[in-house]
Amino acid sequence: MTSYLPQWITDLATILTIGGFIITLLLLREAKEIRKSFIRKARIPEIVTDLERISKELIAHLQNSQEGIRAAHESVHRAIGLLESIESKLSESDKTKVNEFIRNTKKAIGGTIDENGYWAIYSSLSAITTYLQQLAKDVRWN
Amino acid sequence: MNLTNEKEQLITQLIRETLAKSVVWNVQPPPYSLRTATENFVPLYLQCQYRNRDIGLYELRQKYFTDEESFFWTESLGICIVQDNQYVIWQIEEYSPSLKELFQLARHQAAGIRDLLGM
Repeated sequence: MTSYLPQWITDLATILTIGGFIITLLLLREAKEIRKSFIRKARIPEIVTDLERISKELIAHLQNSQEGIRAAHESVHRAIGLLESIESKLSESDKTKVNEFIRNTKKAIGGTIDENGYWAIYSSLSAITTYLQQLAKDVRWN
Repeated sequence: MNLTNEKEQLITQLIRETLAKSVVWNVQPPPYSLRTATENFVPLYLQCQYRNRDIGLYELRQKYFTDEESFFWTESLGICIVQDNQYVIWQIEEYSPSLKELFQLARHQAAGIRDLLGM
């Protein structure tokens, strides 16, 4: 096929197309990051509020006897579920902390666990909630 | 040494002891080093004796400056270990769920609401 344009314009167009494609990929990546950042901004404060409520419930349950232990077990499962839902939206370094809590807590409640074990989980839950509180403050600046 | 873990363990331990009524929280004036050379305000300071140490728990109001002259007051909570009723040798100030719970339990105990209700 005969081209009416000089060869250098065709070459330039090809280079610009390749350049444009790379920029599109970078922008897609950036858009994904912005979306994640918005989700973090909206979801982390909500999850912190829910985790605070679960921590409060956990103390109330641990004051009861056997019935309380069962209820505490459910509360801990809910906390794990909440943290799992936010985990994929966090940055790699933040993910490590959350994953560590999830892994250790699952391991603890998977075996035989007594009241002392639940109090230890309460301590860790409070620590991870405080960490997320600080993270929620940080993402406000993003 | 995991300081976060140790702090959380101490707070959780104190929650358990407070619930079991093994520690008694009393309202006291804040220690000298908490109220001197600072604009921070401590509206309520509670102290107990736990394993031969004086543990303080307090509400703290601080100025948060948004500009050179404009500010608003923010509130947080603190826990500290006090020596000779005036030296704060260790302290943490934050608004964590466990510290909030401990402060609520301690102020409830110190207020003697259950005694008022004859419980």
